[in-house]
Amino acid sequence: MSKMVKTIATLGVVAGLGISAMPLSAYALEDSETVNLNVQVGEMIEIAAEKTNIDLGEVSNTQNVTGGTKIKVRTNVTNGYTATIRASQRALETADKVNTIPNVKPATGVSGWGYKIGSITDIMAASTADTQFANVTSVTPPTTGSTDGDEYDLGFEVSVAPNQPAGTYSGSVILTATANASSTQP
Amino acid sequence: MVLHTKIKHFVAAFAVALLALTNVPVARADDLPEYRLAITPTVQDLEELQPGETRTGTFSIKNTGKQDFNFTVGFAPYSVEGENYDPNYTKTTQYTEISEWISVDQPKGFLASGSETMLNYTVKVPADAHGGAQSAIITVTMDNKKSGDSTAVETVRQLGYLIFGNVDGEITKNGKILSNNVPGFVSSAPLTVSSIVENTGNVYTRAQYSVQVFPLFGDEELFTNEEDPEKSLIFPETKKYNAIAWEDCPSLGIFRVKQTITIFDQTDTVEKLVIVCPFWLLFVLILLVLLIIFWIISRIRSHKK
Repeated sequence: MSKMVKTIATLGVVAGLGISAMPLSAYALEDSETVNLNVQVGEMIEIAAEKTNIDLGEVSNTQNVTGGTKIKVRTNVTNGYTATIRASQRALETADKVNTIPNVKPATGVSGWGYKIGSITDIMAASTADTQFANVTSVTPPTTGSTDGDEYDLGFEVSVAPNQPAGTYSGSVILTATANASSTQP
Repeated sequence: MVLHTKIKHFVAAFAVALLALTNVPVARADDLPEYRLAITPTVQDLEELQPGETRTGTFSIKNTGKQDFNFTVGFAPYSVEGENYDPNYTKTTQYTEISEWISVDQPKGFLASGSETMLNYTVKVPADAHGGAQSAIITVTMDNKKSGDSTAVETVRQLGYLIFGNVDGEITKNGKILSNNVPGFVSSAPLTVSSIVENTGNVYTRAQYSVQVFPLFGDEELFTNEEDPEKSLIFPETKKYNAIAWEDCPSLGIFRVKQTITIFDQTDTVEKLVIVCPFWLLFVLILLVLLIIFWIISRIRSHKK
């Protein structure tokens, strides 16, 4: 048998074995007596956090500070949920609002603050516009027991310039979760 | 008859067990997060509203975490941007005026761990409200405890109860189906069809998407949602992307796939043959065919010599 025929035969065997190993369509019909059982489960959405405040400690012009917490979102709405983050104000401020750390991307030696969460994988400058960090478009029914929902790591970073006035600065971010309207809702 | 009675007994026992299970706490107290807020239900479609009308409703808020907390209720406009419907809770438009029309009976409150309260809301539609869609969210926010003395960032966690309706008046109902895509080739499951629709009117609607998959020969449906088509909420002056996947699609086959989309009075149907075949198998088959052709040609040439 020539080399060519051997190669063709080998490829034929590979293709044949590959096809036979695939989960091809199998549709079984069966006749059975059915009993209908109806139960209604209400739609809900939850948001959870470990901490309400993230103390970042002391920041210097040579050492940025980072910190974070975990945020969990859980829903049983079939179409899932949308979660967003936004800064409630542009800058971190001292209590008297005289001194500020602006919302620019943090970098050593530059005053700025930012965050990352979910699909925002790199620290971004804090934004006052709602930024989607999760868009779960469908919720898969749990196969066993309870599900904890989706957990997101929320991280912050703050950097300061050498001339940043000393003081305690604070700010806030708003995390909003809403269920996606589904076709089953009225 | 005996079988019927047995089935009835089984169903009754199952229902009792199910009811009992619903009262069993799913998680132990140790597993609970420190702070967790829940609302139920999550959305309210007010459907048609009349100018001057007052509408009321209610939803529940629960503290399902370990710690007690105060809560604050607020109202925010709700609009969407882009084909993936990125929500915007700060932009006000002619379609978000409803956020000014809502009030609740408990603007602030306290929720002990494990407790629940009902929030009653009222929507007062102004007599001079213009026709068209309106949407907003009622926000329920967990109030935070005061922070320490170091540089700190507070995380404000809130849930949005989506509320929307169409105010009667000068309304237009127009829509377009911008794309209706059924792929010709799929290398692996799922087989996904997609589409983009545009609502060019001023009321919200629900676009309807139905998909049917047939074998190459024959009319037996392998997959369909025709009896319960997917419906998607489309707000006015927005475009929305939608995808439907046949998750259990076999790894190999040729199918006839049909997608029908309806928005307002516009309907579009696309039917296509779809080949499902993994890339590696396609490569092997092409190689095999080429080799066979090459072998046949070389055999013919050697015979001529």
